[in-house]
Amino acid sequence: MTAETTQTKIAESNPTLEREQIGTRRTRWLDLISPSLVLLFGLGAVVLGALSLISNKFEAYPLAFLGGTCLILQILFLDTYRRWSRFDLKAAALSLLAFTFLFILQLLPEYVTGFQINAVIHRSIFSSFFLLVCGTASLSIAVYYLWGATPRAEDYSHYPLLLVPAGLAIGLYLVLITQLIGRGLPQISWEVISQPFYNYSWPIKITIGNGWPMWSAEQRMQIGMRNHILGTMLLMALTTVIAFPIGAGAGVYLSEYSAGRLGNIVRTTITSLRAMSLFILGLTALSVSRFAADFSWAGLVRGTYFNGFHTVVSSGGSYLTAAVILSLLVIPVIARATEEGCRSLPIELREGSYALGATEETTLRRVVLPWALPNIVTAWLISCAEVAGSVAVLIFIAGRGQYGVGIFRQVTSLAYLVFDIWFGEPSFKGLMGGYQFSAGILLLLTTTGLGLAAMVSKRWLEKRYRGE
Amino acid sequence: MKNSQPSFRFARAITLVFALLPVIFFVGIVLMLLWTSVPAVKDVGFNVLFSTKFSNVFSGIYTPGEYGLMPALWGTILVTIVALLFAIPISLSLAIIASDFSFGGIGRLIEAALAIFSGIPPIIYGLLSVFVVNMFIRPKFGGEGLTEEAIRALPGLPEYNAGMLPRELSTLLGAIFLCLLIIPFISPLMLDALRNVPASLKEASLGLGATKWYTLRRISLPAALTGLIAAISLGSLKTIGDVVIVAWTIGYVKRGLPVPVVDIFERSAPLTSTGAGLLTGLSPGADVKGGLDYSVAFFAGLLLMVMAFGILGLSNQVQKILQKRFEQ
Repeated sequence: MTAETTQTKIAESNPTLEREQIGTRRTRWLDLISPSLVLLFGLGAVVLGALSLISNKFEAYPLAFLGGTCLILQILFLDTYRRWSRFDLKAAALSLLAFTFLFILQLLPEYVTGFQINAVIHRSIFSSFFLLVCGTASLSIAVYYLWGATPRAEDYSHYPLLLVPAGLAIGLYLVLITQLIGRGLPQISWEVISQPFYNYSWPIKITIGNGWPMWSAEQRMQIGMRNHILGTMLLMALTTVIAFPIGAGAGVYLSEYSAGRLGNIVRTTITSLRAMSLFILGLTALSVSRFAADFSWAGLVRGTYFNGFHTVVSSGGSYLTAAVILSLLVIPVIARATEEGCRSLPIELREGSYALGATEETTLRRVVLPWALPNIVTAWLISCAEVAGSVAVLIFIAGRGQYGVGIFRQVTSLAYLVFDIWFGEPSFKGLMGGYQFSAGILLLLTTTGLGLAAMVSKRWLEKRYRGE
Repeated sequence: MKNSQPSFRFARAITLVFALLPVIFFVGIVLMLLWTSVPAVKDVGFNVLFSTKFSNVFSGIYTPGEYGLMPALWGTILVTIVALLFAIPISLSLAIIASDFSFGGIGRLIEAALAIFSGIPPIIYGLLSVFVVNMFIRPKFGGEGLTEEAIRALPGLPEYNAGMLPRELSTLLGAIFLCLLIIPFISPLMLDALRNVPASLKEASLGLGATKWYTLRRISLPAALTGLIAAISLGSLKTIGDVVIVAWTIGYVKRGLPVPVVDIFERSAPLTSTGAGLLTGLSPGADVKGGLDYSVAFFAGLLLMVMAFGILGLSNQVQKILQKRFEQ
């Protein structure tokens, strides 16, 4: 008995299998015409929908695409009946839906208003929504029939539902980042990066007239972001110095000694610190700097700046204050990563160390910490990126940092520069106005570089310390 | 015997000190918030604080003493809901592609892209908002290409003035960028949740002849639901706490609730940017004003903290209930 006859016998006894048998039979080219047309129309509708999200120029095409989809789905409906002798109600419903959308789009005026809503809504936003919905659904149907209407084809037919939103989102990110680079890159030059910014009047000639010293001054100004770049680096370094020991120590405590109630309290607190919003950290920084205002050492907390003549204490915060508050932001990250790293140590290694006579302290130093090192270093790099990009903590305390960098100087950073150019005082805005996108690119390079370094170093350190 | 080793005690003591420092900081922050917002509660009172009338120096019509935070609270809720509406389907589909349906390499590519995007700081999104305004908001919702008279002639618009149409700032714009901010943050968490579904469950389903999609819908997603909800709650914590994006895209000028309340084309400034506007008017280098404005801003911070812990507690409760149901 050949295999073919066996299959026929099973098919006779099992009607569901019979349908599958028909499905996998050789398809003729005629059968592929209508599903591939639906595929084409669906792809076109999705692309057009995405395009008309960002442009108003495609007003003429949605009607054609919706009408075409409606028509071709009806042909597919008939074709399906000819081929499988069953009615595909999904295709019929979708065709009806496309027709309804077409009808609604015809009725809409070009600018939609109403319901007291504060917008003049252009018609193309509706058409792009309709096109995306119809396109995705008809892609599903097309894939189903192109793959031969088997259960596997039904599986494949859901893939457009996943791919279309994902592709739209990734495309949006890429478009935005490309535009940022296009706007900011032409203005980056070595002068802008290497020079500090200043803008003050400087006396050039002093004379005595009428018994009073008089001078004529010239306005000295220079465009640059050196101090902002250096400030970002100093901020990262200071935060590392403060947050790294505390975070790593808390993480080791959580994984090694946190059996009792105290451990629970520490763990809950660290979770809550992470849940604390950035705004509250900004308020904390503000109240710390205001708290110090009455003391003689206020300059250490509030920050000083050189205004062209002398160094004055400003009303704001110093790098030290900002670093302390920013370390609150990153301590939970480092602590959590350290705890996870220590916990992932295989029990054999620890017990082997004890069995060889090592004390617990030696085991911690020589076995547990090297094992957790990849996690700790990754968390440290990621938190450095977070510090470089964080503005919310600096928002209330920064302001006059462009004149110099030092631990007790007034704080500033590259991320704050971007904010400052947008919201800042008019003179600063006027001078630095063109450079916000350049500063944004530098910031993006910093954070992305740190993120990539975190990925690479994790892989490298795991190979080195875990032998993976 | 173990504890008698002096070096061991030293390690324990020093890590205990480091572990207690965050606790002290946390308690300090909470006490500071409570202490500073005492004048707001005492002199302004809850009746005024939870009313719908708000004005600050930048509101155009400024009436001193109108400290109603209800519009700001509603703004936070509205922008969070809209941002999550956009973010949940997109990040879920990204996570599903990366975990179950790899499409030959696309899944890995998406994972790497998400890791890179997650490093983009919020300020960059504020900067990028200019492009979305030019590409999307102005042509679609601002009536670009129409003269002012033509806009005035359109039926159904509320009393028109030039600043009211969402030419530049609106809740929608803020929600779009908050969504872009949290997608790379919650999508890896969702991915972890989907990967942590026991392989035995999935393989049993596939072995019984179910397709991949059916397995995903009936096995993986229900089993990963607790993890998904945890991811969403963490994402919403990030949206309610963000200052920079909302200050940049929604602004801090607020008079009352939007009409109708779900109008996402108006600016409903959330708590964070309202507080920031009360403190400095978001002008860098400006001296922070003291007095009641200061105190009310801290009260806004307190509200925000209560909201954050509420979300955390709620999501924990829901997770517990779901865990119980899943185990049965």
